[in-house]
Amino acid sequence: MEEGRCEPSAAGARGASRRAMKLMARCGLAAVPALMLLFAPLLANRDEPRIAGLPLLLAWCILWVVLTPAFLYGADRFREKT
Amino acid sequence: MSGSTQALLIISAIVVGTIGFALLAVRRIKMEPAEFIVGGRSFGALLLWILLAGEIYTSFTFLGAAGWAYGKGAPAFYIIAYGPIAYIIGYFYLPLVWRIGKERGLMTWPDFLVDRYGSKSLGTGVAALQFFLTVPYVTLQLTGLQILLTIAGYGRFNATLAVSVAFLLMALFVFTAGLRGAAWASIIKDSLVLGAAMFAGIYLPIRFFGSPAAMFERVSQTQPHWLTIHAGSAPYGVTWFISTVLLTSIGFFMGPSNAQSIFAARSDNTVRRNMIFMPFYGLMIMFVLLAGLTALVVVPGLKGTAADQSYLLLLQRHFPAWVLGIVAGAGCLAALLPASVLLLGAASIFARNVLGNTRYVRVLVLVCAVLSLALWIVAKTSLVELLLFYFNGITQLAPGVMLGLAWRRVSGWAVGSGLVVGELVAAYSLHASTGPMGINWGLVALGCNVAVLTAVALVFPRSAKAPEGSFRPALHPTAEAGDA
Repeated sequence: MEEGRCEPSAAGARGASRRAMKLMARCGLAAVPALMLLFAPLLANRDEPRIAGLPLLLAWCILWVVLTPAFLYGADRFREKT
Repeated sequence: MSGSTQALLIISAIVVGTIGFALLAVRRIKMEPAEFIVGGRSFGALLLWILLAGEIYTSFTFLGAAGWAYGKGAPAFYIIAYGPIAYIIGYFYLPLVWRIGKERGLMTWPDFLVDRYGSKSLGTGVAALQFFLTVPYVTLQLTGLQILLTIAGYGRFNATLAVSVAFLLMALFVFTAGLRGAAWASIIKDSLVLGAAMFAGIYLPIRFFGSPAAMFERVSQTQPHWLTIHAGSAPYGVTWFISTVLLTSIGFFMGPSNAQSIFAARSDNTVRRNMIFMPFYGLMIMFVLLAGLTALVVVPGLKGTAADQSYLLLLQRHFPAWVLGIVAGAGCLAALLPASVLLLGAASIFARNVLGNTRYVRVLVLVCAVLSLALWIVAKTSLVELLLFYFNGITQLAPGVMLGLAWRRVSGWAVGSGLVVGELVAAYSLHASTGPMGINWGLVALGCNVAVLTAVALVFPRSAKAPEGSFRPALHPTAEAGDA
């Protein structure tokens, strides 16, 4: 998606819906790591398999901690520049 | 030189050296109130990162996380999980808070509420609440400090005097150097704490078991099911984990000093960039958990709060005194620096929102320090309940801030009634057993708070004639005044 530029009134409605799409993209991307961490004990509540020696539940949490900046950075690409 | 002298000398050198370094760094800065409280709103991304890491990762991270891994096992993983979610939520609302703060000269959360809802009494009430919750939280850091100094002194002396001296020294330091000084001191604190945590989390398992992987093998042999969460609603079960992570991430930035740190940023982009990259710093907690689990196998049998001493006892018994000194020194900074920023937060709120005069803030830092220390010395044990109350109590501010940004109808009355109900439920829960279905009581309180706020906002919406104040529709950025 290209950078949001405010177009004159004729394209106003289209601009509004594009802004809504961008907002959804931001929230959607940011929600992924949040949900993965919040529901970790439902998604990965196991000791084995071990990942690099770590029990699965801990490895899962660490994985999503490390991925959070990537997802937030991605979400930030859809921000309206002011 | 005996072990205890050696360790304590190293700790003193670390604390004094850090203070000296920070004083040197800010020696040319003129300490006006805005500089003192919010660093003149001039912190770049790196200094803000260091300050946030410096105030967020406290002695609870350094000792408590290990104590949880030692005493409870997998429920301790919640300490890793909530940080990133807090930053994700913060990414969406804190840049907006920063911008409103810049436009309208805000420095504290009560400032923000007064500005948004046009109600001075709401601001004063919240300020008093935050103040009385924060002072006991400072004393928690003092207890952490006492644990560290007692172990570093090999139990040969009473640490109360040393705690008092170190804490008053730190209070004088913040009195002199303000928020910027604390940020500079955090550079040393963060690097030492990171180094100490990595040493404890990686080297200790290698030394005793050959590798961290082998350590986990041993833990699951000696303590089956230690590394997973119990199903269902048992204490520290699945619903407890989810509700606690949710509660803690929502309330994460509601403490008095957090608002100041956000307002200290140079721009909303500085805040945003910090929220994106802060999660990396939380990896440090993993090392502390590893150290706690190592201690569980090597020095088993510590009960209750003694579990907080887990890996430090390991260091004390199996390593030379200078190693203990450096690690404990890092831990002392992890207690002292957040304590000093909390003092600054409590003092700022009291000066600005209760007394109504920002000029008193520096003197109040010292008053708060003496008050906390006195409270700690006379009432250590009876403070435990207040501490349990701290986080649940502070979190009840979140609806007023977050919904206030997103929903025009919310009035000061709605926020006030929600807040009172939330605090009452939180207070009631102190004497109740596990929450309904194992849910953390704090989240139950927050739910009641939001329900009452919503009901009042629907029935008695904000009057259309009320001044716009700082209201910005958070989710509709194009409607913002700042877009022009």
